[in-house]
Amino acid sequence: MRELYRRLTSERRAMPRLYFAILSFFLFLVLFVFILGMGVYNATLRASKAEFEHRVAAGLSTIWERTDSEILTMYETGRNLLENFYVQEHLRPYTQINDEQRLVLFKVSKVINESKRLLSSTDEIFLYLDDHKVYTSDGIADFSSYFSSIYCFENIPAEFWASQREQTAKLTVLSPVQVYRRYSGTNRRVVPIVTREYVNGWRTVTVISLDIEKLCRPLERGMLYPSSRFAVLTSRNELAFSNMEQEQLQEISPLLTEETGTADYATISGERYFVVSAVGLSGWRILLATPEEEFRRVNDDLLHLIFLICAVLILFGVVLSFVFAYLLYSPLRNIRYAVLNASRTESQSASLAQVEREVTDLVQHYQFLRDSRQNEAYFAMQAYLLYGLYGERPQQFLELLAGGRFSHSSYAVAALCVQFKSVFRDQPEVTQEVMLQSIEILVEKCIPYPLFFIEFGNHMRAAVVNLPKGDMGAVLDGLDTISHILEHDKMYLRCFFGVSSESDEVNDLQRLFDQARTAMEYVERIGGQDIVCASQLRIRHAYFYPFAQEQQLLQYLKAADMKNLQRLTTELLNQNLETPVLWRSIRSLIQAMLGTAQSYFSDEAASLPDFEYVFYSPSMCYHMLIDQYQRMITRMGDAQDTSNIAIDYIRKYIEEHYADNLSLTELAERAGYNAKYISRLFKQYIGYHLSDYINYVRIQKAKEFLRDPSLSIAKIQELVGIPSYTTFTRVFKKFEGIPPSRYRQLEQITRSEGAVELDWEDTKEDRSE
Amino acid sequence: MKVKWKLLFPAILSAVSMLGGCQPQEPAGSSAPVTSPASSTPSTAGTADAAGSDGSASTYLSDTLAELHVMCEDSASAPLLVDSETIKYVEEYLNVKIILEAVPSASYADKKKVLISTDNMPDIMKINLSDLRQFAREGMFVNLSENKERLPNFFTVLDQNPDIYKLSIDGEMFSFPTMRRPSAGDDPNGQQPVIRSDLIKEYGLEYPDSFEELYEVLKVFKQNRPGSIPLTNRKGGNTSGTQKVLDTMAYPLGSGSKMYYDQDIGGGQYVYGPAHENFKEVLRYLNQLYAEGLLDPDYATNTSDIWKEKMSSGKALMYFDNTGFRMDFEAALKTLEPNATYDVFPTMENSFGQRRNFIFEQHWSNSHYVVASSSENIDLALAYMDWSFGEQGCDILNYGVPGVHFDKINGVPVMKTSVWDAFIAAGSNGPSYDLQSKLGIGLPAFTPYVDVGASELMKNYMLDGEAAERSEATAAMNRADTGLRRPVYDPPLSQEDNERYNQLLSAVENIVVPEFDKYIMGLEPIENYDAVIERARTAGAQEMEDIFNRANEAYQ
Repeated sequence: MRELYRRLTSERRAMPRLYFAILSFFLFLVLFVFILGMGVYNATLRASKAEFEHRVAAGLSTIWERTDSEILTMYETGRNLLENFYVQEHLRPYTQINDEQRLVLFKVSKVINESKRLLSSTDEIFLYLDDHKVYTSDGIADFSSYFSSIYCFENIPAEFWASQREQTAKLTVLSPVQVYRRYSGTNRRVVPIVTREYVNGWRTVTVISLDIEKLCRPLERGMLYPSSRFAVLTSRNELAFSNMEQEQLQEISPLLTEETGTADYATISGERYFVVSAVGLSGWRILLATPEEEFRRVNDDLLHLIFLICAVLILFGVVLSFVFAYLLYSPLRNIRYAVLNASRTESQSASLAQVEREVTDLVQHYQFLRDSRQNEAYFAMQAYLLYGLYGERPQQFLELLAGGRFSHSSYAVAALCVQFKSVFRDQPEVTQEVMLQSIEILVEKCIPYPLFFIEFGNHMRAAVVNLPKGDMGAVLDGLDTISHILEHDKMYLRCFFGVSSESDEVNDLQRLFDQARTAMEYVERIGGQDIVCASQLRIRHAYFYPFAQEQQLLQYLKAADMKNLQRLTTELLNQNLETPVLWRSIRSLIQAMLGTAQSYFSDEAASLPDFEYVFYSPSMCYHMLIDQYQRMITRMGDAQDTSNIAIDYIRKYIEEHYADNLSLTELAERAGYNAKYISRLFKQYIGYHLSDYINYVRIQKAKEFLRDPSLSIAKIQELVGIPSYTTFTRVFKKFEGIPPSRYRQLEQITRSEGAVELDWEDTKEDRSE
Repeated sequence: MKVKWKLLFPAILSAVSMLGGCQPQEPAGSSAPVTSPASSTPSTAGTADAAGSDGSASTYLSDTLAELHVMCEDSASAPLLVDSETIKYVEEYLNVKIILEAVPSASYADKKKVLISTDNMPDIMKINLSDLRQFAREGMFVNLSENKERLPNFFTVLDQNPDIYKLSIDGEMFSFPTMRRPSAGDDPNGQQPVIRSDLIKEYGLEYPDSFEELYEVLKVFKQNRPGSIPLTNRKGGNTSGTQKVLDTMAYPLGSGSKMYYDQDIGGGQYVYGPAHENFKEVLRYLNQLYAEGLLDPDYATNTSDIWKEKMSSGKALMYFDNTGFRMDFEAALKTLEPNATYDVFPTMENSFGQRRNFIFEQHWSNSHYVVASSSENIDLALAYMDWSFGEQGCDILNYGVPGVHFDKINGVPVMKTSVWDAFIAAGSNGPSYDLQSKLGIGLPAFTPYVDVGASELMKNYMLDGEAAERSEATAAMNRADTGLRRPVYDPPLSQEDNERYNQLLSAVENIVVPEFDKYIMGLEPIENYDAVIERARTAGAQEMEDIFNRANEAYQ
């Protein structure tokens, strides 16, 4: 069951595998973009951080400059006021004023008013030089009532102001204080800037009330980032204005007292702030804290963009991978589809499931047959068929097919060969197997007549078709259809068809088979079309084996010149295979070539390989020939040259102890020589590698054992000393071309029916051409 | 292959929509058409306007929140608040935000002129009559007569007060004069003499019937209180203390401080006071007071605050100015002198045998609101101004938020006493001014059509039984006082005349104004003033009078 499941899903697994392959490529790309993006982001993050810091600092110094210069102007105004012409002329202690002077006293107020108007952040300017009167921008007030009710500084009595005249400092900045105008009901927070000068010999005090709100509120508007918080301190390091919360102020107070302008990061109420401070020429300071988040916000956009790109890529990747994987052609799907469409019988349902079931059934069928070693019905059938095809017992062939299916009058054979490209070669065997089975089904569906498949080689099938007389066209059409269907699969596999001509006679099956095989082989060699009819080709029945070349062959054999032997063999084979030629003719050629060697060497021991029932490809033929030549030469060499005792000894040892675990090192030791030396020597004299020769001997022995039906193949494998069954089968196949089981069958048949004699008569006649 | 497209299509769609969704929405357009202002239908019940109700679309003057920039003169007594209750309410109710720029009086004149001259005016601006006459013809202000159909409320009020047309320019109105809506508590009063009535009683005196008698009374005051200032004054908004004294006292004394209409001269004509013979009497009298220390020696430099301080602290005993302040002063003074009382007394007879004094004009002809021609919100500004002349607008701008600050009872807005209480309890010197300032209502605020009920009745409200009686008595006295007259407006002048007049005025003023103090302070004998008159006449005072008198005839 597991096998079955595995086979079923193997095809399905191909697509998801492909899908994931493509998807992983996309994800790789996404990863790349992501890494790149993050790199860029980090770089810009650093750059923009520096930029941000610079801008904040620059912005601060710009705004602060203005405010600072305003404060400086106030400082100067205090002094300039007293230098005013009118003031100089008219200002004197009240007790000393006469009426005439009183007349123009109002001008002093006017002058003060002018100055006040020019300083926008001033709440009031007043000056005094005695305890009697205060000159304001509005008019002249009584000293005591001015400070007690008209312009009342919180907690600062009139006496304080009177005492200000006694101070010597030219300029003092007082602490921020509330000032209350009783009759206007207004309340402002101001910083009194006090300047003292001598006017006409009297010490005069000018006080400018710097309106903190008016001075500092515009700073807020000028901030680069609205979320910034700042604090303004007077030249006495007292807090004048701040838009921070109380707790924040407390946290920041250590920074407030630092001397030089700082630029650093600090944590305030849990958030990170970039803190810059600037000190003006006036001595006033500003501390600006901008949340770090501000510059992050800009970069966040970049980050979002990167994520967006990645997300889009992933989405596209997922979608397109699916699309590509789907589009990436699955031949099996194609066949299924085609099979579906090619179905002509209504009884069969058009669903994919049906097809699948059929394939499953078939697989199961074969599986069932293949698995059961006891039940050799399949092999028997195949053997019979093969045998039948070789023309020996057509009657039996027909009996086999007495199920009634083969009811038409004519026969034809279509041979097909499937070549799997490298893609498929990476697949496990079972997929190729399934493909072949599917193609078989396809053939069955496309050819409207009963047919039966026979496996005659690796990935090769022969379909024996029973058709009404003269209807080859239908067969060819069917094959054409298949060819079209499989046209797009050229990447993965290639299917060749060789079609024989038609015949009424069952006995002709062998010939038809031959034709088909030849035609197929021709397609493979030449290329171009996928289907070739034997009737299209002029298939020779004769082979070329000129006398001159025969002589040359002999020469090389005598001289044991392997190189030239190889060359000549290749030449001969190519000459013969250039144009379409019946397979049996090639077989005859090979037999002839072998015969030449045999007769020269008079080597009775030479046994012809049993290849009559097997289809050898030209290269296999070639190798087999060379192999035989080599052996013969060796054996000849054997007889003539016994000088190399060591090699001889080893050879005999192998032939006796084939069943043991033999190794080169051990053997060399026994012979008393170095392993490398022995290996080289062996090759030189015998013509085989040592390991090959060991196997060769084992296989020869195995062949003998195979003749005994009581021995199971596994037992035989043990007997010949090959460790595993798979190895045994492989090695056997290598030397003999067929698996041991098949060999046994053929042996049985041969023995039961009597030995088959080569029909040399036919070939001799052909030879005359 | 069908399947392929089915897969790709939604994928492409989703990707595109993802990218498309990142685009920000375009902000809605800023300016929107202005809807017609709410018509002035009387609200029948007090509940019509629920407390704190948001303006619905029907009351909106603008679809989207629009801004109007307004520049006004800031009053020292009741400073303008940019976020007063009324302004906030108007924003909700009319969907109009009034952005108020309050400029102190001292700077206002210059700032105003600069802005007008440089065409940098805000949407709505407060100017005085001379500004109006100077700039209206230059097209700086929107011609209201041309927009009559948009200003139904305003023109209705004008029709009820035809004298206002004297403030027109070539027959067309270019400004919204600050006008007064008749209301309760609006008793005639003016710049009248207010004296320490308790001291009158204390020193066994009578209210002076003439200026001669006043002089005697003040002398008694001075004798009894040597350190005091019997008569004091304040500066006007942009005028000097000297000018203010003359403004208040020149007319009662028989002349006038500037160009005025004198019914008693020549059967009634315009006279430039300081260039007239009678002016000498004014100067003489003031000098008499000054020389004996009865007039504040600092009269020329007293500020408003200083004046209030003196009156509230008992330093000064009498003033000749807006009677409205007396209650505030009395309240403050009572903390120092519990028996102190201030009272108005009837118009005195002058040396010419005339008994005369101006009460406040019904309207404020020297206060005009103009809409700048260069404004981008002319429609909205006109709509707003007209609304303020409507019943509802007048109510709100003078009483506050309906339902919150006042109720409408029998069609008359009545201030909630709780509101008055709040301000009285705050204990400041001028609760009525605080009220007006905080709420943004009444004359000191941006109120084109004034109803003084809220502040005046508050003053009455603050009085307890005795004081209320006194107040009523004063009102009755004023009503009976035949000497109290409403001032006559200047006639409308043609452009030429206006130019000429201004030109002459500046020259004449340059001659006379610096002389006033000399004579008041006695630095020059009064006889020398003739020479001043002569110079003034030559310099153009005569021509100025002619211009006015001619124009007046033409107007009639």
